[in-house]
Amino acid sequence: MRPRPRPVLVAALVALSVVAGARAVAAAPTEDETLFASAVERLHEGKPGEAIADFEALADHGVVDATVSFDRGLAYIGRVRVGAEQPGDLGQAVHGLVEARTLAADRSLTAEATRAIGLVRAEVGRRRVRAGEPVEFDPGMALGPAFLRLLPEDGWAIAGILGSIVLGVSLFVWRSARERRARIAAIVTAGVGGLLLVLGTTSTFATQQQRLTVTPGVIVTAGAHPTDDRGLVVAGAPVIPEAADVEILGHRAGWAQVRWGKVVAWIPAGAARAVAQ
Amino acid sequence: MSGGGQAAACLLRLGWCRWLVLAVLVALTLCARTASADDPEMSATVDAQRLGVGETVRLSLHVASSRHQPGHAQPGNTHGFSVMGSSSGPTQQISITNGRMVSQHGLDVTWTLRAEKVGTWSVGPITVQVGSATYTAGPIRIVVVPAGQGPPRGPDPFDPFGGGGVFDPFRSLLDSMNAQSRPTDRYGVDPKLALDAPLGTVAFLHATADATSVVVGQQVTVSMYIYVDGNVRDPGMVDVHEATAADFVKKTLFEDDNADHGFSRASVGGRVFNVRLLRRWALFPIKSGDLTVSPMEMTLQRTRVTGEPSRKSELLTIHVTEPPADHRPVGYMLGDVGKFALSADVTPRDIEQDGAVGVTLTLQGTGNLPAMITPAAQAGIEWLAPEVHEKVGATKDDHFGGSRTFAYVVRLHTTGDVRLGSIRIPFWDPAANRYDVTTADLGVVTVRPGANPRPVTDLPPDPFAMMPDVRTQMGGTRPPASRLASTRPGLFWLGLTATPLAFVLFAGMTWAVRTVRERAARVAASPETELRARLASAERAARGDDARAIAAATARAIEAATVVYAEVNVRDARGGEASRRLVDTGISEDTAGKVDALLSECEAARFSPDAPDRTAARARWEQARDTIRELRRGT
Repeated sequence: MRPRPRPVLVAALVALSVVAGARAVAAAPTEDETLFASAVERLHEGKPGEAIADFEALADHGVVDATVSFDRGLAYIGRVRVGAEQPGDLGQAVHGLVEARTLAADRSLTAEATRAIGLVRAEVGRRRVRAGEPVEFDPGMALGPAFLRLLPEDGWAIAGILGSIVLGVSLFVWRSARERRARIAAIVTAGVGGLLLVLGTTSTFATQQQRLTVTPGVIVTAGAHPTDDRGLVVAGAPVIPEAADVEILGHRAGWAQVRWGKVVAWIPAGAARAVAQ
Repeated sequence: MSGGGQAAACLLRLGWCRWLVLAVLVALTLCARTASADDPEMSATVDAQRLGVGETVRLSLHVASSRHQPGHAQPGNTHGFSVMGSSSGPTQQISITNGRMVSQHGLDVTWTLRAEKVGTWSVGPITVQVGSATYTAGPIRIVVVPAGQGPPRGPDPFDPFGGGGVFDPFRSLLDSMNAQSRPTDRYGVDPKLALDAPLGTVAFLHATADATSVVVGQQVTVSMYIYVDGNVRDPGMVDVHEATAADFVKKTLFEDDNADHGFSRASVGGRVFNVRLLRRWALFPIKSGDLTVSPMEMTLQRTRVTGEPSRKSELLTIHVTEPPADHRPVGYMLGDVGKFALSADVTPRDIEQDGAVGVTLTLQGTGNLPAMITPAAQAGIEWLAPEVHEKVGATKDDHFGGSRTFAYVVRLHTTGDVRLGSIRIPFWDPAANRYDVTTADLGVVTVRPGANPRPVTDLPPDPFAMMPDVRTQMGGTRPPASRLASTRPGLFWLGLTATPLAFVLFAGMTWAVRTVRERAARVAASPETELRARLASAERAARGDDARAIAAATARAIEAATVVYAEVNVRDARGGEASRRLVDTGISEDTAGKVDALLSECEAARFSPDAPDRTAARARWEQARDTIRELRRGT
């Protein structure tokens, strides 16, 4: 007679196999990780073209990662360095690096991306100088957007809440104080609080609106001629240089409306690539 | 007798009856000549005397008369056929010969008959009225055989495209068409071109697309047809405006759009139309969305029979999406759709350092062939700009395709066996509904050290030498920033409004409490309140045993009532003064007198040295109550 297996032993074996399988599944690299590893390997092998294909495939998959963006920027630079430069490669490189700087939590990555952006823009500038073209990447910003950038969206929101609290407490003090000096002090403080409340609230919504309607982007072609809404080149408007930061305001069939400094114009949609936030 | 007289006598001898006979003969001759000249020229023809059931035959009548305009033509007996339609047109011909003008009136009538029954049928005789006379032509014998057994039909002598005007852009097309011998043409009705109803009178344009939902880069074949009513003469077309497709790359599938591209017939709403294919394009959408192909427009020349001359085809809308993101191969470029095959040729395979090899990539297939191939960039391998040759056009089944050749010069700067890698082109195959990749391996090139290697100092400085290193670990992305106003709007608004609202509530409640209190105080001090209190006090006193107290309470109640109802104070008025004051305010003298009397009685009772009568005091209170009611009614 064959001995029957003990139920406890069988259950333990099943549980062990389930746990081991789950661990194996958890440890298996994802498709995106495999693609990233392949891209990095290609870069180390001196094959930036293939690495770019892998990095762009990651972007197509919707991967938003500071390191991926950083390495993608370096891959485009690598293609320039091996003498196989395609038009717009420097712009694509800056796009990847700007995206990395925007997304990075690591300060060293931010610093390296910033330094790399400087190097690439310097090269673009040198080329433009050689071609006799103006070298201006950042023509400045209008007062309103510049003011909004003083604080992040939550900063403005907290300022508004703080102003509200100051206003309310001051009014209580004004109401309950008997002494004239105390009432005057309370009403002045209430005014400051009210101002802070209005400023913080409006700036919060302005920043929110800007976030929802304006997308930062980078010029990834050899340059973009600003055109009007009929597609005609704006007379006298400077060509937006490759690797310049722009704000994408909207899209229309094959065209993107961008703001570059004080210039608001239409450029071909493929000329500006949006930076992931 | 003279000679003249003899001749006259001779004529007279012939007799007047002979002259009469001669005149009649001359008149008859003239009449016969006139009748001969009035007979119209008539001819009746059919374009086929043997045809199958369901096929159509054209019965044509031509009448010409020098004196009258022919009209009222009737086909006569059409047994075995159904008349599908007819067209007629008057003609007038004027010619000048040796200075003499001759005009001729004509009529061309065509009936389209469809054979319904097998048999030998006699059509006609056709009748036509010329002046007051009716003339006949025919009958014509036509043999109808079972469907499909009819003989091939020849070109249509009444081709509506043949009679275009001087500016008819299709005249050349028709000429070329008529010049061709088409033994295989069978001008039957093509069911694929059938329409439920005509889109215009006499002639119209019709646009078709072979697909209405495609992916970016997938071919959509768009055809433009012109339909002309088979029973109407060619209206002539001018002022052609081509359809535009701004969101597509447009490739014609004809070598020459103005050449003949086929001719057929179609049933449109039960009528036979001649159909010509004008254009056929392969359109490749360049973006996603609902993209449109604008109508093609033309103008008809003969507006007398067509009415509004402008004709335009339908607006076509194509729904375009991107190929699926799932399983999209690395390196796929949006728009690469079709079926491609890539081959490569590399020569030579053995060079010196810094030498060059030729790499020829040939991409063949159908669909949207990529216009550019980006070689895999590697260190030490320099790809120069390619020379591109292409041979693309229409292939079988109206697909667009062919081959595109990219000839590269590649310089190799490193020594040894250099692997050039491979070129891969991913594409979306719409027929298989999946991605595919065509790959060409470039193999290995042996690079020998050069005799004069380039010194390192000759190399240009690398502007990117200070670039940071590649990072090998994904991550380092900061979490999404919190957006208080967006993600937790309730908390945001609470923070914004809590303190000011608390103050507003506090201030409002304080004000409300104060207001209530003030109003209560005002109500407590009013004469009405006092009157109510006095009345209640008098009632209480009346229930007691103290007659003086009853009298006093009664007096105070009356005094309060005069204040409330007459707005006059009679507390200090006695001896008729109270009555006067009340009368001055409009109280009746009777009531005023009662008030005065009651007050006097109450005063007497209160200050009487003897104990006043309790019953009388109560009765007085009863009277006072009635008087107060009168005061109230009096006001």
